[in-house]
Amino acid sequence: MDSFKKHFLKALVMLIPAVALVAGMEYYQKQQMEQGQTSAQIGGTFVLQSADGPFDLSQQGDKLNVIYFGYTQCPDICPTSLSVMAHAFKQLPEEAMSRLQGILISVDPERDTLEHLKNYTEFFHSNIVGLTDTPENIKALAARYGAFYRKAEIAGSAMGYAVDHTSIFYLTNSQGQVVETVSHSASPDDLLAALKRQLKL
Amino acid sequence: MKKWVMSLLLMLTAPFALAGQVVDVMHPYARAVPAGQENSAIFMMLKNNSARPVSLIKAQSSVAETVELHTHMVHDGVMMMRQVPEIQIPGNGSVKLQPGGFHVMLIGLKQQLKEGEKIRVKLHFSNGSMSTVELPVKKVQMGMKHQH
Ligand SMILES: [Cu+2]
Repeated sequence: MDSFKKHFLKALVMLIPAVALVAGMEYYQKQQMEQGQTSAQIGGTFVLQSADGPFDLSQQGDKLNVIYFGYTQCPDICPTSLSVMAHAFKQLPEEAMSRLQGILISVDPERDTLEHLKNYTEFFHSNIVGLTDTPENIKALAARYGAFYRKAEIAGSAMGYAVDHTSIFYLTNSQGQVVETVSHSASPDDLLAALKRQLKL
Repeated sequence: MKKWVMSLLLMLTAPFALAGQVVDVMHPYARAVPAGQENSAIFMMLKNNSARPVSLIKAQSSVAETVELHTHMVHDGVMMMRQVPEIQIPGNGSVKLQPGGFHVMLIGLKQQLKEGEKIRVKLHFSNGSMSTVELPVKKVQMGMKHQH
């Protein structure tokens, strides 16, 4: 009997750190989530150039924006992402199109002309606009969104340089506040689900 | 003696005679691009029917100024494209050239690649073989699942 008590007590004592650990982890996760929600205030409004004149995000009405940082000479990742965007758009009801704006922001303003950007985005979907600005402004804007890119010389390649970049869709409201992000995927499913969620469809 | 010469000759010429069949080029296609677009990519599956590894070492096409072999890498969420000297196909294996990975890169397009058109590409392999492939231009749909 005594030995049972002793063992029970011992087990109880041993259990305490485990319980504390689990509780601590839960507390930490909750804290992280709360912090995540506040630090998720990335993004912001902007005025950039398009082939049809300046584009002011705050003047587009109450729309859900899908912003992607990329460049047109990107042979593969960007066209994949833009066709993902286009394909997701095509699966939404016609009514939703007026509440939605796709945006490609070129991180290669030195090579991407406004005319070509327009051509390029319309090739994928008429609801996607191509924007850019001076290299300095684009760099600063990308930083506000947490988008990363850098020029990368490709040794011996006729391309000269490629642009290494993150591949993320930023869903923002008309004030440019990021309400959701969708990481790179070769399938439109994730983006479509996010759009339906945000558009309450 | 004659027999010996014959078999030697056969041994020397056999690889060349069979070269065409060592690598099968399957489902090749080029990505359709908007007007004014300077580059594009070609994708395919390469199947090696021999036990030895073979590499794709060079590609040529008259539709572009330069044709290079490239790959894509992802590092900490950053997409990077780089040139590679070769694309190896393991013995009795295959390698996929597909969006987000290996591709034949067309740089300096001399013509717009429109959906429905056909272009030609010449592939050079490390075993000395060469294949000329005619392939369709397709608007790439995302989700490789749909490609089969
Ligand atoms: Cu490439």
